[in-house]
Amino acid sequence: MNRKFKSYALNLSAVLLIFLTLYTLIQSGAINKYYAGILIMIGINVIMTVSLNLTTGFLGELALGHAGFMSVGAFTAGIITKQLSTSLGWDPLACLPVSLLAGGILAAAMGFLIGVPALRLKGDYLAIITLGFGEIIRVILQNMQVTGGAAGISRVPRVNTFPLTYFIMIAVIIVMFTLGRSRHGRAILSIRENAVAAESTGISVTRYKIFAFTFAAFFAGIAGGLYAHQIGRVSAATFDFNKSIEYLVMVVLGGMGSITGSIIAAAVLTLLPELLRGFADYRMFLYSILLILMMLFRPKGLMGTAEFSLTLVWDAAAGFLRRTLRIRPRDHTPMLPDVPRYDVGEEAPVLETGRLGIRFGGLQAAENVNLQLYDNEIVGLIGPNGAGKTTVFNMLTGVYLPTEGDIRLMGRSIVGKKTYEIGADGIARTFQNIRLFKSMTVLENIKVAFHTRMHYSAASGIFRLPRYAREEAGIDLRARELLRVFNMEESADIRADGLPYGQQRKLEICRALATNPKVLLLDEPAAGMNPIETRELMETIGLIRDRFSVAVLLIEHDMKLVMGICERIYVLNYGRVIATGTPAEIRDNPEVVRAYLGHSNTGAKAEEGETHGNA
Amino acid sequence: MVLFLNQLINGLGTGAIYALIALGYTMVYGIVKLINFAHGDIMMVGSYAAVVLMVNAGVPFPVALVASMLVCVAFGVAIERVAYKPLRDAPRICSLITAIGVSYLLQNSAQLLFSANPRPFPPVFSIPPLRIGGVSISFVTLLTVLVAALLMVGLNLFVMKSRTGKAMRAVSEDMGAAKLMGVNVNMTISTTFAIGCALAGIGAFLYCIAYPSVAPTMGAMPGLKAFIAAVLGGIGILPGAMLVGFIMGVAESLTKGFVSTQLSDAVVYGILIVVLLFKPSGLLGRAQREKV
Amino acid sequence: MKKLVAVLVTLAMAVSFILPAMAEDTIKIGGIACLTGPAAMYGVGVKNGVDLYVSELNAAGGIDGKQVEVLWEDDEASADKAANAYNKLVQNDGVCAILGPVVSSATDAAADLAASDGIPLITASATAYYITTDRPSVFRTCFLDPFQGKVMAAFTAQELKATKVAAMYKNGDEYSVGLKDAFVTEAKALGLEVVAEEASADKDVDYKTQLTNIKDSGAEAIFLAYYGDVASLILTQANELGMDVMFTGGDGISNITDSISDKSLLTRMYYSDHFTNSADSEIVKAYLAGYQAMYGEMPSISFSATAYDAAKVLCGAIAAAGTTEPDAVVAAIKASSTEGVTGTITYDDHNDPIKSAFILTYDAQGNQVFVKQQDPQQ
Repeated sequence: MNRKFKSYALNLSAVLLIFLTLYTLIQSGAINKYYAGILIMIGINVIMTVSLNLTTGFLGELALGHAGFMSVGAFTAGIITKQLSTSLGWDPLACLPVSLLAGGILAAAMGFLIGVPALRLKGDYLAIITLGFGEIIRVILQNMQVTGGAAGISRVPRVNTFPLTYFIMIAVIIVMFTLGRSRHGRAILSIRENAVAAESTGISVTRYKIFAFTFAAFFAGIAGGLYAHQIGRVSAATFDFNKSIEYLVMVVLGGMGSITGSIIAAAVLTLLPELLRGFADYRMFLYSILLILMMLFRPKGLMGTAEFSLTLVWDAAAGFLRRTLRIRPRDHTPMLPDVPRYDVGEEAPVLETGRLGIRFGGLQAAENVNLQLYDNEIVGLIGPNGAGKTTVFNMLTGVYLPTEGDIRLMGRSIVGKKTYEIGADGIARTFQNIRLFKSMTVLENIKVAFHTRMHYSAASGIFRLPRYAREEAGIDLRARELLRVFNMEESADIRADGLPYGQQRKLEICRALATNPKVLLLDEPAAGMNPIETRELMETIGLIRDRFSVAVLLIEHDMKLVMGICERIYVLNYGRVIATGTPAEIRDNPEVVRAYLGHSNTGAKAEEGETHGNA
Repeated sequence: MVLFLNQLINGLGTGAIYALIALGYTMVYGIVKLINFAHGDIMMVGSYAAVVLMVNAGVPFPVALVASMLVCVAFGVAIERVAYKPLRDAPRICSLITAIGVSYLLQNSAQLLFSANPRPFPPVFSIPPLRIGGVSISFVTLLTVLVAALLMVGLNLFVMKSRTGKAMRAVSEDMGAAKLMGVNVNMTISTTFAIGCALAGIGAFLYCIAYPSVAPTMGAMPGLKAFIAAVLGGIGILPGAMLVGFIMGVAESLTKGFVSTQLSDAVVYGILIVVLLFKPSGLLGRAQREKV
Repeated sequence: MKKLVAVLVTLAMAVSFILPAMAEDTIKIGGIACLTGPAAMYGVGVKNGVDLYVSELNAAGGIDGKQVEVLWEDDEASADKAANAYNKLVQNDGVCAILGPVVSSATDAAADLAASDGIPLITASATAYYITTDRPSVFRTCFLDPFQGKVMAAFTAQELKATKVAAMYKNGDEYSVGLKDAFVTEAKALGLEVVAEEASADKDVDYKTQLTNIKDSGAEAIFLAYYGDVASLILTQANELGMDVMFTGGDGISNITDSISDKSLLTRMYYSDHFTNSADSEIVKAYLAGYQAMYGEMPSISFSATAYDAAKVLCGAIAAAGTTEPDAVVAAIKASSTEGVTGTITYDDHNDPIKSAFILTYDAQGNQVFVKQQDPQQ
């Protein structure tokens, strides 16, 4: 049986089984209106929590105004249904699709509005923006005529039903799962893990932040619509800061980034107050103690980032049966095609800089830097600490905007482009301090880097259209292939931060290569490595030259490594190239020796002389 | 013009209260990076302590002030040890959630002990307001502005110059490195909480003199405003927090006075958002680029 | 085998008939109120009033020899919790009628459910007009915001002789905004000049800005659409600003004495209420004595009295109908005339009581002083 088919079949039957059980119980009266009402509220809260998990759990931004989107959805849907059913005489049930969708869309528009400031902000500053927007929405709703002012709207037809809530909830959960497993979901996750690295692999952080906010708001709007048709009245005061906090608590208790966790937490925390009805006075007291204890003893939440998988449970059960019944599983090894060569085939320099320079205030950090990199070449960039090596890398990758000069990639200028655009154009890099997507698996780290090489849309990812399936299948093969080239196939499914140090470096290089770069920038890859690890690194870099068609620019202090593998070397000091040539030429260059050793001897004088000498 | 001045003074009065509470908030927020949602509730605890001491036990005002500050400090340090310390290495959002838990716990304990009904705070000073022309400045406003300014200067000196202050900043920059340099991290963080909570105690007193009504949920709003001031001022920057506290007070007052009392919250939040868009690292915060 | 099944089925049916029949020994009424949270004092006041009446009734033999039991559920003043509470009481506990909820939004949610189920519901405190509109089984024992606004506007014009008035209210609070609107509409109709309408936000403690605006506008009387806790802050701050104005307000003011420290300021405060402690009818004296005996203190809010009356109206109707069957009880309530502690309660077409308001003030020690009674005909 096909694994994917099995997972679909299992989950679908579980969804239907749960539905049929609950529905029959409700219809027969075994679950009365009270319990049915609670079940529906659980459904609504699950939608809210799962959607907030997208911004807070997956994207990793603290959002303090999620209830605001819910209120926008609730008012919009409530007003539309009321109007259509009273003035046009529509059946309220028939209004639902229109009003729910409209509520979702208007809420999404608000989410987009909040997402836009995210262009510039992050962390607590962004949190304040979400809080502020939530409050602004509330105050405006409380003072508008259409929304009934302070009283809110009353007598919205109470036409929400259990099946409706249930299936919308299931739809939202499915969308979250499929989105999370598409290239777009991986992009969002990678931003949480390491925004700088995500940007360098060609992911537009801004665009995905806005996307996540808009998407989450859309679902919150739908949940609001359901709420309006469930309770029959909406007042803005319900959806205040405290309500937003309530949902945030559900997300964190469930586990940030775990959809299953969100579902469990939303269900438990909706049920809990009803169970504690008998302890009226002590209910909130108990709740607060539970909250503190929960965080102290399980800071990652109920589920952490893990998901409950029916397929795994099924497999475990089947495995157990097989073992006890001694049935042999059929043997099938996946077939992998050979490693392709990524051909570029250019005679002209792949990367060229002309009189590149940058000035920070009064400090000229780099000046008149002319580099040329050819395909399939390993070039070293060395120089004493503070010589401006990383600054050059940052200019090449668009982190800094050069104040003078030009950078040409394959003959075209890339100055002024965003980091993620340059990443997509073909410059990949690694970082001095390793920047992996730590809590993602090794394979996922690689897949994130394939982002720009895939083209299926968010819709295609969510609905798993043929294009998604085709591209993902291809990417899975290629990602595993790439790992195989670097002998890391074994570690494909372990978390990136579980790798030993040397392997983490290797994975970072591997990830950079996965973007199919024309130029690979390695920033001190041997830093912190022991001699054995360094030797392995040399092999890895050698492998890159042999198997990939890419120009490598290497910053390194380990002279043995640099002299061992580089074909050419640029020496940088005080932001200028002071020497260039083969390793042998560089080793004998007096100016280079002075740059490295001269500091302690001549101090400021050498500095002076150098600046003037080159001017 | 007189109306404008009066409204400006009203704004400075509320702003001074925000600033005062924000100072204590920023101490903790700047050094431990904890969004301490329970800060306002510590203030509530201090207020109840003061009411119980002054009304039920008949303790004179200066003694009650010191005693309620000590109560705040005791609560703050105990809460830090029990609820925040174990989570120092966990993701920040975990301690945020415990802080929310502590906030609920304090509010609901107070409600069980004292009921939800507000209690009046006894009058402390009966000094008539200062009147210049048509402009009147109440004594509490003057006092609060003065106390807030003095505390800000004092604290800033303390954090910048003193040994403990330097230790605090070291802990804020890099806890591990600070430990290696011989800084007693636990002690330093406890001291930070103690100072922050003592400030909440002073804040509670001035708050109650200005608005003589003590209720279990009284800390929520000032706590939220202090959080906003602490972030907007630039994380960990005391003068910034104080400045934003005053700006918020004046913005609220002038909006209510001359724009709209209905939409004032929306307008004030709107102003804050615009400020953040132009100063994404806070008003006095320096733009920090993540080093790549 | 067939016999066995038949016996079992008969047994099961018998049990299912007997069980409710056994429960019929007591009459179960559901109570919904905000018993926790910031509005708890109103919920507890309502609960106290109902419990007082029911304990007196039960001591006197109950209804037709059956004891009355009130089952309370907390709604935390929120609409969705009130809906849950309603469903629990009706579905799980099988109550025949509902007393409460307390605040208007929660009452609206529960009343909507009660109206579609046909279950009788009487609220003691939801003063918003629309609560009983088109809901035949929903009643109340308090007067309405429009009536209160009318009474206080007339009082401001005639007794306080003010010509310029201002109103202050809490933005986004249904009770506050509704009451303010009613007052402003009526004040304008009476030819008063409304010089300022000032809003505040939830949990605000500083009202000096609004008061400064009002001071500048030259108002002689300020209508406070607030509860007592906020009103006490406003009175104190107006005093600090040296304002020489009178204050008026609605039924929410009644707990102001608890939260104000300078009681002498209260002599400027006039408000309308459902009930006065100073009425010297026997029934009021008995109520106050009973309350004192049961709770060890005097009632601090007037909703205890309207709640006492709500319980009396409902129990009287059940007795009159001779059954707990909802339609009969609803009809009996509609036809009832109840001698309550807040006056005689009869219902109009809109299911609202036709009753008087009492205008009250305080002396310098904070004791309630009766000013006048305003009848609904005016």
